[in-house]
Amino acid sequence: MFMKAIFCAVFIVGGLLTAGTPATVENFSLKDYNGKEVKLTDFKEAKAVVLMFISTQCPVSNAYNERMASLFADYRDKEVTIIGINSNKSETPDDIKEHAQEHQFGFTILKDVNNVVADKLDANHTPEIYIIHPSTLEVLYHGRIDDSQRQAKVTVNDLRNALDEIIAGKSVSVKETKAFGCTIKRVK
Amino acid sequence: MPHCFPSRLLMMIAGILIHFSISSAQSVHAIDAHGFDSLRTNRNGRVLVLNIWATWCAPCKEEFPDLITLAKDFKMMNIDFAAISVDFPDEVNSKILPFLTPLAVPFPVFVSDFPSAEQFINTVDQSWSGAIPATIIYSPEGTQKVFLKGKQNYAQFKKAVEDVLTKP
Repeated sequence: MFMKAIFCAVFIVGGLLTAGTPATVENFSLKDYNGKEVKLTDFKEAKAVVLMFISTQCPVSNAYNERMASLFADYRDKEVTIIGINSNKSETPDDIKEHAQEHQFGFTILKDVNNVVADKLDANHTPEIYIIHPSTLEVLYHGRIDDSQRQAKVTVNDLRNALDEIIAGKSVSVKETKAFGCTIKRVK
Repeated sequence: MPHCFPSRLLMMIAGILIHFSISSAQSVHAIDAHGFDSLRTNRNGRVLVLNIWATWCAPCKEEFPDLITLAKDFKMMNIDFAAISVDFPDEVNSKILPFLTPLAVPFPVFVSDFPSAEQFINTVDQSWSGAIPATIIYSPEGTQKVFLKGKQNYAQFKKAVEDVLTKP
């Protein structure tokens, strides 16, 4: 009984996201850098949808370019959809396309004009991650990719750990970490 | 060549001044959790204005000159200024000092040497998202009095400092 009580307490605490993270996301529709419209609900067959707020100019976001490309390569056959979102007001679709080609990003990148989606999610940094349940649009994880912008110093791969748990049919054990990077440059 | 000696003398004096300027230039020391706690709490009865910034953060660099002006304007007051860069300790010479040196910063600047960004963020303030620039004003007892999020201008910095000094 005592152990059961402890388990329940841990489970309940683990199930909470803090006030800064929405429990669910509204569906949205944005265009990619080629002008193709993409909806969040287009990926209902996936096990998870990863939204990555990224930048072409932010040094912290750019420190993750190789890791983001590897992430896409490693999870594309595991029913995980990865989508980049660029909400920075000064970065154009052409900038985003050039940057994506330069760094060989295989994933779709959407232009969040007027930072509408960043506002809905209260996303503030690049890079900043949200893992979304494709059907319920529940936020399964929010935070950083890992614990160091320098790959050699990484000790915890938070995003990969969360995705592996989802793929294995488990609940995500660490649902929230603090994203760290450049502030998203919003329209006034 | 009677004018040669004075020219050489002037050059020697200039060299000495340049040497002095370089040897007394800004130094940037690494700061960990223990150092941060010491900085925050060992106040000798003085308020602390702590700015958190990085060389890759454009708004941080934009507000920094206003912080320097404020520090100079308040140098006779019961207040200290300090800054912590969240660049890496091995970037002091390559990134931090090239930014700081021309500014002749009149207060100590540190570079974060915490194991991770999240540990630094949570040590500063559990409720802080980590967005920079951020400026925190601590009472002489080390209590956080003001947390300024985002880029500030001189008037905003000054008002926040005056509020703390006049309403402890």
